[in-house]
Amino acid sequence: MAVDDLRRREERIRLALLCLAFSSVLVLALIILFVFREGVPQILKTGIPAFLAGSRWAPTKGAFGIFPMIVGTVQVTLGALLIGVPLSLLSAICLSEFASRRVRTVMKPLIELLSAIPSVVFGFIGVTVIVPLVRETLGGSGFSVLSAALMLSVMILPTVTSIAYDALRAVPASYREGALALGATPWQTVTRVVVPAARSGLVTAVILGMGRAMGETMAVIMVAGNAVVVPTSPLHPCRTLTSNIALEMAYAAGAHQKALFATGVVLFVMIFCLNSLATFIVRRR
Amino acid sequence: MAHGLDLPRGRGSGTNAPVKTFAAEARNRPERSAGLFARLGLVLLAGICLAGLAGCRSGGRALIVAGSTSVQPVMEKIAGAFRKTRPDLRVDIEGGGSSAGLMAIRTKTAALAMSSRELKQNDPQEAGLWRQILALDAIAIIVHPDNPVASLSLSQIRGLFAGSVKSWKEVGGADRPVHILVREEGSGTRSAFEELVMKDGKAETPIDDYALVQDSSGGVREVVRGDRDAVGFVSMGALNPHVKAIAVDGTPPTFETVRGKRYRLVRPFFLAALQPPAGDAADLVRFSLGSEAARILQTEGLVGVFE
Repeated sequence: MAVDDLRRREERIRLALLCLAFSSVLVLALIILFVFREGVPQILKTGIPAFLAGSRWAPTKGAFGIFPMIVGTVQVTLGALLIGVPLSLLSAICLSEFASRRVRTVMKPLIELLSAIPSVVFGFIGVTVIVPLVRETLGGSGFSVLSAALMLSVMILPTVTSIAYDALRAVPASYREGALALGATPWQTVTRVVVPAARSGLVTAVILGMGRAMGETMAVIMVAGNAVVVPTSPLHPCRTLTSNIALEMAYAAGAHQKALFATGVVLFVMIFCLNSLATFIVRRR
Repeated sequence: MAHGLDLPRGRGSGTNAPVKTFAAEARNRPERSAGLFARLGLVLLAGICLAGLAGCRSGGRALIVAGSTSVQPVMEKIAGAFRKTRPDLRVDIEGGGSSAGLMAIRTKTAALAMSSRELKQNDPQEAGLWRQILALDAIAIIVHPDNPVASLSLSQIRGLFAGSVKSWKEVGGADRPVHILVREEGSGTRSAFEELVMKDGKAETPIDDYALVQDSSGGVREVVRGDRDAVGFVSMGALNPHVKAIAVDGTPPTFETVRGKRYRLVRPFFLAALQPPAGDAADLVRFSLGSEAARILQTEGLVGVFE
């Protein structure tokens, strides 16, 4: 009797928790539904090729081409990865394989602290330091793909470093011992044994960093210049998909507003593909 | 990013509590959870009630004015002064943009709309509304204080923003590249600028694609302040000593030149309503055109229309 009672209660709690767990999935589903319902008709009205490959964006005059922003997003993201990933991976390797315990216990929390800095602060530093620096040394207005990439490379540093570090620490000590016992130098052990063994985790780290760079909005608006052009030089200004939405949502109405939702749909699809890729790589291991 | 946060684990639940048997613990747990859920529910319910209360907190009379975010700050100050004369009445000033404001009077969610642009007479949503000019706002062309250029013709300004003038040398400045700054698509200041500067008769020259975009007057001003090659446009009310306003065809934007209609880049701010306002709304409109409001307008860099 008492046991039955207990079991029923357990069952009820299990159900309640399941509902709570599904509530977040429900929110996701609602957001997707809403964004797609608002955005997809506008994409179809403009025509998929004209929307994705059109290079003129003047929503108040009926031109809805987001190609420059897709290119801008890709360029800024790749630029950030180009600078940020080598730095992050090397510091992760250093922390995990070569640093003493004392260095590690100080450095790891410090790197993670970097991710606690609000993005608007990074943007402010970008505007007051990076932009004038680029303007004085390399020319142009300073508001550029390069400035945005430099700033984002610092912003993805903690994400990539700490996930890569965890992946490297997860490699069993026996691998290292085996390699060293066979006469490999510490550097050979790292490059030939530990890094390949942690490969899927390292790739995940990079992809999550990529997602962070792609989704960053506030800081990028502040330094990228936001001109709707296909940048042909790192010193040209650019606009990313996220900035486009944030910049123009305040006054957008009618078709303009729908076009911003459509921008969100494209961004969603891009990030969804990235996440699927990350999951796929991790599973394949 | 939550990774790396080391939460203290497995402490918490009552270090001083007497030791219980497992059965006693298990029997207690469901009630505790149920209690927790009940409390959560209560909190949620209270939240919903509060939100509901906030939604209809007035009960009494409220006058809602909605529209342009360029007009909103000054309208709030005018409404603040108006409230002192009419403490019984609540006046809410809401932003959202000119179009949203005009839509709001159509749907009767607002009594008055603020618009920073002329109503579109060919748009059935906007044609036939009652409207009244509230004030005149000048659009100032701004450069860095160190820029030697002090006066430009309208067509020179058009050339700068169209990207056809590449160097300041072409308009009498140093041999340095021009960095153009504009507002985003949809901004009322941008559409007024396009109307007043970029349009020559019927033909409109598009703004250069490489123009940098900022989403506020303050943003444009701060970038111009930091870059000696930059040129941008802002509302006259957003001017400050850190940037230099260019004279257009020899006339600088000042209170007097705008009032005397000598400065050319001027746009009207409107109040609009479905019908000629009556009652409380009419009182607010009358107050907004009065002498006290004119003083407020002037401190905000605007020029009232009735003296």
